[in-house]
Amino acid sequence: MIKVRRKKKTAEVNSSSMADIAFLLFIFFLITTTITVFKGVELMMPPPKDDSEPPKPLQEKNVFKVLINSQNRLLVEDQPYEVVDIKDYAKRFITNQGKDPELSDSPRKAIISLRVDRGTSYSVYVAVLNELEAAYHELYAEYLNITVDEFLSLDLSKKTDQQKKKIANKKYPWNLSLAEPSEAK
Amino acid sequence: MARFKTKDKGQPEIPTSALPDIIFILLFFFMVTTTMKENNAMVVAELPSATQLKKIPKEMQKITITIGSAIDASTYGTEPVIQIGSKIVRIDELGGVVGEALSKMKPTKRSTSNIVAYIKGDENLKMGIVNDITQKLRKLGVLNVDYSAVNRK
Repeated sequence: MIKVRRKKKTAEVNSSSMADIAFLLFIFFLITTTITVFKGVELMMPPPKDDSEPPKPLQEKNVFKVLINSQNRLLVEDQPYEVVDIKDYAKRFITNQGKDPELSDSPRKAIISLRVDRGTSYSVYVAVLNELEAAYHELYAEYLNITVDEFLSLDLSKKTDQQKKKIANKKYPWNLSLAEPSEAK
Repeated sequence: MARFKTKDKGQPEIPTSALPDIIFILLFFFMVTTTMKENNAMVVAELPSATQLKKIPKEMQKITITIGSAIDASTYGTEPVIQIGSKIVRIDELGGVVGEALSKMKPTKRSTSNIVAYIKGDENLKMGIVNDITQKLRKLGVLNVDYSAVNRK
């Protein structure tokens, strides 16, 4: 009898779809992973009050008073104000350079005083803070000749960016005074 | 002149047999480098909106303070509560807890300008509780505060 010799091939697993499976897994992980970014509105509080030291006498005109009451109403420099209008007013106040006798003498002397009630809503407080920050950020950006978005995305781990921020901060220092809140619930 | 007969060139194919390996390596890389969240959220905070958001630099040491409503309302009630780390903290314990967290920080970085309190507050909060916390932080020398917010345009 004649034996027919057949060449037997070893069965191969079809691996062409392997890449697709791996891709699917990969994309699944990509989508489900959320990267937590720590982003927020920053605020540098003044150092704790020292009772032994008498408070420095301040000139009324150098203080930009912002008061938010428990009804979430705003009082800026003793005038009722809307949140959206604060930014321009604050910018005018900071960059006054002594022109208007009602506003600050120089950016260095300008102080922002923020006062809230215990019953003030947190979101309104953040919104007001945001507007005040925006005023300073716009001035910083203008001074550094960049856009506000570029200023906000400055990478403070980089020396050059850190330097930029320092220069801007020196020109327009953020002087904040936080008053104790009143008890109004 | 003798001419070499060039072989008939078909469409050259890119070998794709190594593709799955490449993708797997990518996949493993991401799986290994991903760190899982350490602290379980016990408090939910719906963040307020703002536009002037800045990233906290990596070198800064963060103390995350979440203020909002407790998920487990039956034990903690419906009043806003504070979570630091994996614990719910009462307002009178706050100073101690933050002080402890400060002492655990890397000594080289323990200058207070390198420490930031990252406050994740619910937008429906009243300023009373927030202010109590910031005043305590101020007394402890933590002057950098960052109010967590989201940019909803």
